[in-house]
Amino acid sequence: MQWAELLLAFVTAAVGALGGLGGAVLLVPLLVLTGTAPRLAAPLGLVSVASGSLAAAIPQLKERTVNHRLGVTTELAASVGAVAGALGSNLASDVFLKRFLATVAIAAALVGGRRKGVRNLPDPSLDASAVGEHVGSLSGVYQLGNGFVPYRARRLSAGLGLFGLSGLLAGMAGASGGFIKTPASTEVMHVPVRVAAATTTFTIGLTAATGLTVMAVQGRLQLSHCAAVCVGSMLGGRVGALAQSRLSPPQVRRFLSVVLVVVGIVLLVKS
Amino acid sequence: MPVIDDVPAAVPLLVRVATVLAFGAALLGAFSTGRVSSIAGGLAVGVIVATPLLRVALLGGRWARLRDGRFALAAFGLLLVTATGAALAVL
Repeated sequence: MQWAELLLAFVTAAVGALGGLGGAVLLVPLLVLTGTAPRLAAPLGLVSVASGSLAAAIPQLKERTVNHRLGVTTELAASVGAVAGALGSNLASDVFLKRFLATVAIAAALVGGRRKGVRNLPDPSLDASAVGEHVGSLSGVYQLGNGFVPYRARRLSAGLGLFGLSGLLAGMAGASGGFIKTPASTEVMHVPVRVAAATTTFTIGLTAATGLTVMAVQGRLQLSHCAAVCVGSMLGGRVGALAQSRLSPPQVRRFLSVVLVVVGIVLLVKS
Repeated sequence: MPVIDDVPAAVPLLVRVATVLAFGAALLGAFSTGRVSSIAGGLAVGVIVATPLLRVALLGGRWARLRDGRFALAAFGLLLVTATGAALAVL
């Protein structure tokens, strides 16, 4: 029984689901620090992301905070970028990529952390029957406390460009890219942070599934270790998703900024 | 007036069953040893890999039935890119 892996997976998955980042960017360095070989830590990171994403799905589907059309559209750009990045992974050095990702994470933290208040406000004319996503567009309504907040994704071209870039970098560096996707959704596309975090939690599960398929074929999965990480991540993902539903958008954004700074520092140290 | 969509009824059911199955298998895999641990861990990984892909397939099917063509195309395009990426990596 791998208790250390189970506990680390629990904590990082809770943090990842709360901020919509996925926990791998924190879990993998921690596993390496505690003695796991990097070649084996990477698939455990993806198991953590996929498990946390699955566990967070039940509360997020119940609250209808996931915008599936937005998730599928942006993940399409990210996946194309990830495939291109994986194929061209020799074009940039590992150190350059990690420093670049660290800069992006810290910049996103500063942009999100500086913004005050709530951009998308409740509309008093809406009620619970309006909650959900809209057919044919990247818009919807989500519940915030007793209010109902309409939103619409803006600047789609810029957002898709950033998602493609996040996929490209993720494919090249082997990171999940969640820590770019959520800030890109909130700060560039003006999607409310809770919708962005829930939608990213859904999409990073897809990214992790693809990566795990490849790693399984490569024989890099230690199944008993995967099981321990899966247990910890499912419990952590559920706790993170429940905590997210109880916090206000500025609280989630501040938490996200702190975690992004930590992620940036971890990446800088790793580089 | 925008038309509000809901996820296909099969999605919450799929997620619920997959969560219970993956968690149960992972628990067994984590607290056992040898062949049982490997088989249970493999089952858990299989479930967490297959579920998001099935979810996108179900969403794509619903959007196609609603004649929400752009998003249906995006969903099946995403599955195609995912399959292509995995195939390229395997090759």
